[in-house]
Amino acid sequence: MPVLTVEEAQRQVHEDRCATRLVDNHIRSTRSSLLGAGAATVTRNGPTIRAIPNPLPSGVPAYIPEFVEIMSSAATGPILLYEAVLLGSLDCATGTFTDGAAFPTRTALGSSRQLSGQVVVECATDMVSQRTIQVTYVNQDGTGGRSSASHAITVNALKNSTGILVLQAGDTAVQDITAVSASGGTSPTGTLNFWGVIPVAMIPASFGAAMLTKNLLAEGVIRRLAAGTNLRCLQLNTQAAERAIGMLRFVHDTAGSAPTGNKRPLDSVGNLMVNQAAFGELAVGLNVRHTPATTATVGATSGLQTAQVWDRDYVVPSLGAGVDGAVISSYGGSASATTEQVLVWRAAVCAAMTFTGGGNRTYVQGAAMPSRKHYSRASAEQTVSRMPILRVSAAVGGASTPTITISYTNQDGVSGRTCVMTIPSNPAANSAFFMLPHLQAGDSGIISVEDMVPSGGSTGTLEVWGCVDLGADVCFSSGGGQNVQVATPSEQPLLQAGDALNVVRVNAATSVGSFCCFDLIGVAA
Amino acid sequence: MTWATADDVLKADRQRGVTVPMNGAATGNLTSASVNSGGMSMNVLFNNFGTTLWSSLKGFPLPPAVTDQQDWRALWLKNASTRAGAYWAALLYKIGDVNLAASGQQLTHHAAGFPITRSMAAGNTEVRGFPLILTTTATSTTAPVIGNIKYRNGDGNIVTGTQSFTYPATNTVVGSSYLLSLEDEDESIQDITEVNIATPSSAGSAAVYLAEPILPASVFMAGSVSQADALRGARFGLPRINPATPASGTLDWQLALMCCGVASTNTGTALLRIVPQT
Repeated sequence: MPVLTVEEAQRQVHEDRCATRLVDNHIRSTRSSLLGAGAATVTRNGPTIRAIPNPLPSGVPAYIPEFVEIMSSAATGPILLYEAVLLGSLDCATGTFTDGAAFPTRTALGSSRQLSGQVVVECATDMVSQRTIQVTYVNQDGTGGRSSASHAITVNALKNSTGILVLQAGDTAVQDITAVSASGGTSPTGTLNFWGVIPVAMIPASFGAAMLTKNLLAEGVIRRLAAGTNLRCLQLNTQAAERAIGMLRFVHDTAGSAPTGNKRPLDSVGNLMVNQAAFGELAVGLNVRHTPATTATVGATSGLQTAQVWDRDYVVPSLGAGVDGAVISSYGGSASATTEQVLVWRAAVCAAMTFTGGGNRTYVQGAAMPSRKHYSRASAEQTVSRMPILRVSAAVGGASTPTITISYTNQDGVSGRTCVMTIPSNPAANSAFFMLPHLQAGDSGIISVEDMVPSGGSTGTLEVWGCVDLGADVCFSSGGGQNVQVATPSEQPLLQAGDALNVVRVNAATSVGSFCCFDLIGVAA
Repeated sequence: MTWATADDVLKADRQRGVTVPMNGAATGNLTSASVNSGGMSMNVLFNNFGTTLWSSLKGFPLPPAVTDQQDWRALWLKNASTRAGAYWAALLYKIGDVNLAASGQQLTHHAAGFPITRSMAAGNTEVRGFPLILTTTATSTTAPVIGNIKYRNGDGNIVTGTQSFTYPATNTVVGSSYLLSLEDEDESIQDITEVNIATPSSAGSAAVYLAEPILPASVFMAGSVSQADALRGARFGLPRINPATPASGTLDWQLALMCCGVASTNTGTALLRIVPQT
C-alpha cells in the first residue's frame, strides 16, 4: 500500500527511507524580462534543482516531496516549485524549432488524461540580438493550431532569463507545442527552451532574507514523483541578481495497490493522501493577466473595493468513474504588486443587462445558483452565492455613474429583494463590483436574479455572476502568498466537469500578471 | 528500534533527549558578499566557549555519544540569535585550508577521506552539502580571485569548474564566509579537490567546508525567538544530527549555526533538542 498517512511518512524518514536534495541557483547578474513588458507574468528562472534521485532504489515506486525551504540573498517574490517538461527548443540563429515532449498523460481525477499547463520560455544560453517568436500549440482541450501572442525577445537577454507565454484569447493552457516561428534580429544567436510547467507548490517569498519552510504534506500538496522527474524552481516577479539556496526532502513511497478513495479529502492530511493515491491529483497552474479595470468609487455603492475578473475561465475537466466531484487543495498565488487574489467558482451567470440608452435596457434572464453536493453530504443542496459580482462584460459608455437596481432572491429563497448600486462612469470590461455590501438589509447572499434596471448609461453590458469562493491568497508587494486548504472548516461544493473557475483580483485595477496554482482532488462517490 | 509513531519519538525524548545550548561567539562585522563572491553572505556562528575567532573554531557541544555510529536525531531548534536572517543548524565538515596569498592550486585537503556517507535504507549514501569558504586570515592589498575549483558534485561526478570567485574586498574581514561558485547545473558538493588561485592577495587564508543543513530556524525580527519542530512542523520526521562517516581517517566536524544573507555582527543564541533513536 502506498504511504497514506503522516505517521507512515514519518516512519519512512526514521527508517532512513528518504533523500535530501539541495538547491542553488547561481544567478550572478540581473536577468532580463524575457518576453517584454505587458506579456510576461514572471521572469527569472530561479533556483534550479536537477532531477530527483534516479534510479529509485529497488522497491521504491515513487518519491513523495515532504518539505521545501529556500532562502534568498534578497527579498523577492515567491518561488514556484514545478515539474518541468521540455516541450522543445529554438535555435535562434537558424530559426529551427526542435520539438520535444508533450505534457504527459497521467491518471488525474480518476481517469487517464493528457495534462496541460503553462509554458515558460527560458534562455538556455546568452542571446545575441533578439528574435520575435510566435508559438503554435495544442490547447487544453486538444485543439491544435492555436497561436500565442507574438513575443519580442529582449535584446541580448542573458542566460536563465524567462517569461511565461501569453496564450490565445480564451485558452488557459497548452498540451503541446507544434511549431515556433522566429523572425527579426540582427545575426541573432542563442537557444530558447520551452518548458511545460506542472506546478507542485508556491514557496513563500523571502522577506528580508529570512526563510520559511513549506511543509508540503501539511499544506495539502501531495505528489508521488517518478524516477527522472525534472523538478525545477522558478523565481517569480523579479529579475534581480541574487543567490538562493535551499533544501528538499523526499520520502520513499511504498509499493502496493492504490486505495479506494474516500468522501472527505480535506479533513486530514491522511484523507488527502488517500484520495491523491486513489484518483491522482490534477495540478493546475494559471497565468492570469487582468486587463485594466475601473476602480470602485470611494464612498459610493460600487462594492467598496476595486476588483477585476479574468477575461476567461478555467474549466474543470471530466471526472473519472467513481469520482463524485473535485475540491481544491493547496491554493497558492502570486502577483507583481500588492493585491488579494480569490479563486471562485462562477456557478451561474444569473442575469445580463445591455444598456440601450435613455435609462432603457435589454434584459436577459440567466440561471439560478445550482444545487450541488458538498463533500461528505449524500444529497445536493441549494448553493448560495456569498460573493455575487456585478461584472462589466462590455465597456459601459455614455453615462455618469449609472445606477443599477438589481432584484434578486436571497439566501433564504425570498424573492423581490433589491440591491442598488451606483457604478463609476464608463467602467472598462472585466471591472468587477461586489454586490454583497449593497444587498438588502439582513441578506448575505443571492440564489437568483429577477431583474436589472438601470438609470443612465447608453452602451455596455453588465452581468451578475453568482460566485462561490474556493481559495484565496494575499499577495504581498512583489511577492506572493500561500494558502493552506487542508483541514479548513468549510465544506466546499463538489466541482463537476464543465464548472467555470475564475481568478478575481481585489484591491487593484491595473494590468498586471498573476500566477496561481492549485490542485484538484477527487472525492469518492 | 525505529520509531513507528510520534509517541515513540516523544517517549524516547522523555527518556534520553538532550537539550544542546548554543551560545555563540560574537562575530563582529564581516564583509558582505558581492555578486562575484557567491552573492550571499554566510555568517557562521560557533560556540563561544573554546573558540578563538577565527583561528580556533569550536562547534556547539554535542554529547560524546553523538558519533557517526549512533543514530541521533534533531527534534526541535529554538533560535534567538541577535541578527534577523535565515538560519540553519548545520554540520560543518572541514575539507581543507586554502592559501589565498599564492597562485595556483592552493587547497591543502584535510586528511579525512571524502566523500562522507550516511547509512540509509538504500545503502551508504554520499552526503551533499554547500561549499562554504570561511576567511581565517584577512586579505590585504588585493582582493584574491579564485579562478575555479575542482570538485565532486552532488551526483559524485568530478567537475572542473569554470566559474571564478572574487573576494568582495581588498581587505576582506576575517571570519567573512561565502558560498563558492559551482557550475550552473550543480547545486551541491561531495568534496572539493582543488582551489585554484588566479590572483593572489598579499595575505589571507581560508578554510573550506562541506556544510550540511539540518534544521531551519530563521529569525524574522531581532530579539524574537523562532522555532522549528521536526516532528509536526517544519518537518514530519526528525533529521539526522550525528555526523557522517568519512571514507577514511577522522573528520574535523562541528555543529554550527549558519546565518545566510547577513554580514553584520551576530551572536548565536539557540537551543537544540536531540534524541537518540535506539
